[in-house]
Amino acid sequence: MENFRLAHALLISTFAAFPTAVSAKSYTALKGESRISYHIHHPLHEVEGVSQDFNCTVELGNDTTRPQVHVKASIDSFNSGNSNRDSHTLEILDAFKYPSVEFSADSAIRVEKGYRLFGQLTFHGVKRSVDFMVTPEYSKDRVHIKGNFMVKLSDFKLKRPTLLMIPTADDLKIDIDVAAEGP
Amino acid sequence: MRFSHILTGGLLVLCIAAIHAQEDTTMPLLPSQLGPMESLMWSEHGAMRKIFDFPLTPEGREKEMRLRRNMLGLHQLGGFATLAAMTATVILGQKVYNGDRDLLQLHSAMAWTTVGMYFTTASLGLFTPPPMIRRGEWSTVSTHKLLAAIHFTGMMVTPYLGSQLAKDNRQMQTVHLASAYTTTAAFAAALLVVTF
Repeated sequence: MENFRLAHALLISTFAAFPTAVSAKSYTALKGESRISYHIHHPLHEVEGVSQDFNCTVELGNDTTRPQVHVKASIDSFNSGNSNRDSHTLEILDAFKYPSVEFSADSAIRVEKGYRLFGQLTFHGVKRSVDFMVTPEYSKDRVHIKGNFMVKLSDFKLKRPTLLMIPTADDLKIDIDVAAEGP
Repeated sequence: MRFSHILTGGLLVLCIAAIHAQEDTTMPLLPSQLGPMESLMWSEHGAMRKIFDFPLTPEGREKEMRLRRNMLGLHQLGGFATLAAMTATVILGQKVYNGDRDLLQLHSAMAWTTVGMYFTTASLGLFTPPPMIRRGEWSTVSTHKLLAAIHFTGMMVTPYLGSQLAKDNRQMQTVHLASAYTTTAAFAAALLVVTF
């Protein structure tokens, strides 16, 4: 059960350190039930864009402190509920040049309430190191791996979108909720 | 035996190709839904592709997005300027309606200025290259377009009614005034709904 939890904990940008050896396994997030969202603040609006159509795989080998996690989301899969705004976002993100956002992790450590995952985020053609906490939540037949982290638009050479000549905040919060089949 | 090897190899190649195709995340060049004017001008075989130098390529679409951004910026600025002119025209029209006939010429000049500004501003919105994505959900832009249908009709009807008014036809003057107020209200609402 603990192995199972770890494997699924690794699932999102997933994650974990685990003391015992397990045989190599591959896990895939459930599309439709999993979601990645971004949140950005503007003095006039709070914007949330959600993607439920992304790939997330975890290769878990014998050394569970070295999980191979790969998440790839197409930029145009994020929906803020307003196509016009999303189209503007795609322009800012140079989506024809950089059509996807990717996260790859290859190490994790167990911490009190979950796992801290270490990896690389590639966004707008810029690769940067990120690390963040993820926590598994178990229900009857599903496990949801939840976590969040902040990035700065300026770190990824992105202009802040403006509305009425007022720019949005530079901080972008990313929320992750990856679902996988439970025990 | 040889045939089964070829078959297995072929299937493997197909599977690998299918997996790679699934992982491909290139952006579509055009949104799945285009409006009538967008289809006419900017679709794969649209007028802008055939007549002018607007190739349907990622680089070409990037340029179109910059053009779109500039046109929509001017569309918004033009909207505020047109609203100011339209409001002034309505105020002058109300004064003429109330009996100040000396303002009629000024009202008329302002009205035609407003008409010119309106259609210039409208064309900036109408002829823009299509966005990168369109899902068809109801949004503030949908409300903007619905209100545009109202004020566009008003901008066709109101100046025509004004040009046909007889000095003593009070009933038609009232209809003209009501049409002007309706048009201005719809125009202001259309502007505000996409601004905030």
